[in-house]
Amino acid sequence: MSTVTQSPAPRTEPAAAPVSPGPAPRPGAPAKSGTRTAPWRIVTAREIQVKLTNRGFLLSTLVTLALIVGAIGLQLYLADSMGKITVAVAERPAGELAGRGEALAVGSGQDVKITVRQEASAERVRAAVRAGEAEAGLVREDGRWVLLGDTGQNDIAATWIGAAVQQAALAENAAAAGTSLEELGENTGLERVLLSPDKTPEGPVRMTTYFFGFLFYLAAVLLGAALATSVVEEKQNRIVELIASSVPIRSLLIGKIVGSTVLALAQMTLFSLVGVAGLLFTGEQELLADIGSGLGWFLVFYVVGIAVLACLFAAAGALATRTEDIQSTTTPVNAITALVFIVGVTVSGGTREILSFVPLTSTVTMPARVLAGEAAWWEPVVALGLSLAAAAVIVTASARVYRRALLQTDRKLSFGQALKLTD
Amino acid sequence: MLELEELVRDFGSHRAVDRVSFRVSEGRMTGFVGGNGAGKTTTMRMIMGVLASNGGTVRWQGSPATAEDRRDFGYMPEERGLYPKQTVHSQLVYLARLRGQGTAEARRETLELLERLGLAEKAQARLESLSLGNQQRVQIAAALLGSPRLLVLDEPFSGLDPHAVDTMAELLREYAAAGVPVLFSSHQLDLVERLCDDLVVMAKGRVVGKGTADELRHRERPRYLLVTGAPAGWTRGLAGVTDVEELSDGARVELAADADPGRLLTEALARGPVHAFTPLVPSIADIYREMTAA
Repeated sequence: MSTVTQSPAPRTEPAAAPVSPGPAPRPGAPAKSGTRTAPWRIVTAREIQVKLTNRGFLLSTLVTLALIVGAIGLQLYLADSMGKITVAVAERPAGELAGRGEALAVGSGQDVKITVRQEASAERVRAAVRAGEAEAGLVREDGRWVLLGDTGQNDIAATWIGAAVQQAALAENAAAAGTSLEELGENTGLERVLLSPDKTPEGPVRMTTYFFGFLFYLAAVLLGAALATSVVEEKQNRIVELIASSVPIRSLLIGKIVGSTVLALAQMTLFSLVGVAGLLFTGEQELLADIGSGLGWFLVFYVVGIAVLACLFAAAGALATRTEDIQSTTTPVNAITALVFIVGVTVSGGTREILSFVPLTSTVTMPARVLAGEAAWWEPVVALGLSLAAAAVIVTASARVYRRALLQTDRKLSFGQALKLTD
Repeated sequence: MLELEELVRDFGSHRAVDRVSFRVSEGRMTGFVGGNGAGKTTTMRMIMGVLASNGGTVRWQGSPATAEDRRDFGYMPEERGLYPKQTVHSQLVYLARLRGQGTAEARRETLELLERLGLAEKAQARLESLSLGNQQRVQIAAALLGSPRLLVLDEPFSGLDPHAVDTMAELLREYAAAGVPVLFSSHQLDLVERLCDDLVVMAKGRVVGKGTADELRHRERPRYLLVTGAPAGWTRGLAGVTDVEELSDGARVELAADADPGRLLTEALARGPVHAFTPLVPSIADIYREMTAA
């Protein structure tokens, strides 16, 4: 026989969980205050805040920065020491030739410094070169000048002292033939004319394309796994159902895409600024000036390209159920990124023209065409529009996949399977 | 008031929820019971809009529930989960803001809730550093954020220790007393019996019983325990008796709804001494078993 207990059994106040007689619930209170922050912005703010307090993220950023600074430092050191050589000589004319070599090099705009090391004899010159005290030695044997190297010839010495020796010999021969070096050299110059001096030279265009192609690839590496992981986070933690009951899934995805993209762009900007500062410091101003005009386009396309890429990575994250799945669901996106890089920097002509309108590949090909002066003003605009449209379509599809796969927390899905699921 | 009208959900060819209709009224605690796979979770997900329905309507205050309405519903999903690496306070503020609160308000309410749940000093701790019991409490706080106008709680008592069960029960009672409709599912029928004003019983995707606990109890034919000291098989032949379970010292007798129990007692007294004659009030567990037995 059972009786119905209408009132709860007397119970002791739990020691571990005192329910304080605090304020009573205020159900249905008109609590929502004034203007509501768009949910995606709240998601973005959390995304950024979580990342900025993540030790791994900060550490990887610092390590990359250190690598860039190190590379620039190395370049500076190499540039500083590269043009400087010491040449050992035993007699005065050899020293003069070395000095003339340096003058010729400097006259051609090369940063060369040849220090002459005076030795007592040819024997001592050989000894100095062997001992590594001088990069090269210049001695006269049987009336001919001989350049000595230890295990290999020093390029600077070979080139510029070689030129000085040749010039001296020519002058001697000219005098012997009753003429002068100037007369001999008449009309031997070649005048150079550029037909399109206003267009950016092909070299810098190619270099910039490589640079941004590489930056794009680097951003994909930085952004990709991080974004996909962040998208799968809610599913892995199983908090997604709670969030889906408050805000549309689309807002969650957009918030994550914006947050991760902003962070990746901030990282890239930081790296690029340090890189550009390095270029200026190492005296590559010319290259910067060449590409300066097209740089704006590259940046615009870069940002939009990254946004499209972020949407793709979000889709890859949406297909995964836990972080372990991400490796496989992001593989196709990584392949696409590599393809964009390789194709973007290698194609030319008609193919490049077509690809410059295709979202993602347009990221490097269209600004390259603009920089090369091949594109009309509307072309980059259309390409940007296409990229943004693609981003919108991808986000919508991803949100759909994510929503439908929301409660599938037990396995990862293929794209086809995910689209077949119903809401 | 929350009303479900003919709600339907199919998964492929399997109908998980079949024309389910019931209501959860203001200030009442409604228990939602049924075996595993009966369709409770699917129904709750459709109430919250996490899952789309294949038919039927979820109404809130008379009109179809919108996303805006649902942001005011407090929800505890069957699949528990929060951000393990984030602090208790910051993730609750985040969730409150997603439900439309301003930052200052979200912070204030989070602190208030943590205080109530005895978690105030854990506010700045990472969730993963908390004991399982405390993590459950944070989950409760997540459901109560944003001054909910309706509470939909899927198995809110599962995994709680007895103290936490009491805390939770008290909280729910407070919310109901303040006028919030509360719908919660549970397998712990004793708890449901203790807490609920109304009951909805589901089996195989359908509602097989609903009403107040008393209504459900009295829906069936009245049963009486008769103790006479000897087997009372003789009751079988009496008018108005529909079923008899003979016992060694008497019988359990089921009467027709309109039968007079007084006649049974008179008859028994005419035959000898009667040690006991008492109505058998079924427990919720009995009702549940009966309803879901088919």
